[in-house]
Amino acid sequence: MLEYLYKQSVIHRLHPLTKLSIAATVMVMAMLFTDPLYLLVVIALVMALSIAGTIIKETLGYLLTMAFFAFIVFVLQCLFLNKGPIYFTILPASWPVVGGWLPVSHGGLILGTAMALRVFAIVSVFPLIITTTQPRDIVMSLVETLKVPYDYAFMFTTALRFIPIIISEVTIIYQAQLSRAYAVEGWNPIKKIRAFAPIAFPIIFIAIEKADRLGLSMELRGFNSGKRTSFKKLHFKAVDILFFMVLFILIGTTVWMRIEGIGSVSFS
Amino acid sequence: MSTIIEVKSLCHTYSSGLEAIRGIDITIDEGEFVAIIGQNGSGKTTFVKHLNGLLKPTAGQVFIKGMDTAKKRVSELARHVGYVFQNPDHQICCDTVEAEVAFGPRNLHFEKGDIERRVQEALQAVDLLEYRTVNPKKLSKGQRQRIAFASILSMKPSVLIVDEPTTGQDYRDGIAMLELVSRLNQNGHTVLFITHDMQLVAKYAKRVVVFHDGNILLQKNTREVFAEPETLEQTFLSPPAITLLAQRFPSIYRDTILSTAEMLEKTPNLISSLPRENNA
Repeated sequence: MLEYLYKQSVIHRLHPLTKLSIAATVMVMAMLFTDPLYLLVVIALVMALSIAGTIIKETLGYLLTMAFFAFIVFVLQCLFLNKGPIYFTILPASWPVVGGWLPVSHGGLILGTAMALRVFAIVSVFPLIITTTQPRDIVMSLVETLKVPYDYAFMFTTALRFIPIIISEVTIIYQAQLSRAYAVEGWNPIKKIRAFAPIAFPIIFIAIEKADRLGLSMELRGFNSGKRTSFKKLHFKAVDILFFMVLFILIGTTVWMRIEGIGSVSFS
Repeated sequence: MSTIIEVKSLCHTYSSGLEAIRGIDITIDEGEFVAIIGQNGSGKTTFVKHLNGLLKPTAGQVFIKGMDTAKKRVSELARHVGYVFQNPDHQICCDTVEAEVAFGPRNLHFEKGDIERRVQEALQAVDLLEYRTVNPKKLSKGQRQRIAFASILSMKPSVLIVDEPTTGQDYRDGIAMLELVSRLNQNGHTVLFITHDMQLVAKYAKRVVVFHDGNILLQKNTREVFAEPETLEQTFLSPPAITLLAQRFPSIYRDTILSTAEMLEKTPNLISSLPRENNA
């Protein structure tokens, strides 16, 4: 689970919008390049930023869990594209009937690698934002700079805030039911769904109760009772402007390269 | 008396790297009444969660009736070790009190008649028989706590673990809960309870285990533990006020006093020993 880490670094001090722009830029670059080598460069850029943000350990840990999904993407792409020379087939040709099915081709391998790296590049930027920015600051930047209505921004952060709470409550409920010899047995899917009830009912009840209490405390603290002011104002600094310039150049160069045909690869 | 719980150099380190338990040894005999005290985060709850297998030791071993908990599933251990959670709302999932109390026995696949008998007995023990067809959500928090308790009792575990049974209850409900636990103890259940209330410890527990920073600080009879207020202080606990008062007069009260009644009993008749004044 990724969460904000209180540290001092260049990345921590950036304006939240700058960080969101970094994420957007990485996404654009990852989507435009198809050459695995260029995608590796994008990933390397994100890693460099993670080192600058002193969160490289968290980023690598996160990417390790994501490697599983990247692998699935790789396998699927490999199997569904059949272009260029075929290296081998998953089902050996010597088998009857199904022999020679699921070929792995040169194009499939390259596309698989590219897609897996693309997934990696896009997800690698999440830890950079989440671990270096307080959720509150992301919301404030959206509200103040991008003029997103506060109610919606608040709804969004509250939903995010609820996830870890609900997870820890579910863990307790699960343990409480286990202590009463609760066990999900057998393979019958209907039984399996029914067996979920002892976890589901308490959590629904607790979630409603928590939401109710949250609403009450919001009212007590004067939510929506007039114009909102904030104690801590977010400002763009010189380093933010510098980042924006670099990001702008990066996007421009990427688009230009793709128009010129650089950074793409043929799958045949 | 035979040993029912045996803990050998138990350690538990959470995946976050937090060392919650750092090598403890405890042996608990059948029929004991043990209080587990210590500050929040001292490892009390982590420890008791090992006894019914919710947590497995990261080092060391835990034996319940000779069974290694690391090799047993929680549902198998549940019939031997009943663990009552703090908040009843974390477990109540049925429409009626009766069904809620039958949840455990049903999971253990007892016969229908047997389940009914167990529910009847458990509800009788917590004095909620008249509410058997009521929806638990309609009852008060104290009553829901008793339902949670009954739903563990119905499995008839030989060891009962109660995690802070008195939080969120008024004094009378808290006492009633401990009276119930104490009756069950007299009927042969081994009882472990976690609490922050030293008066309850003094009144009910025969033995006290004091946790401090993942270690056991003290593990003695209740009277002996309260005789060491300096040691208790290390973990910001202190004996009941009446015990502390008696300790101020060591020449009068040689033994540790645990209740007002005891103090009165040991108090010499001061009035009669005062020198008489002449009113003439």
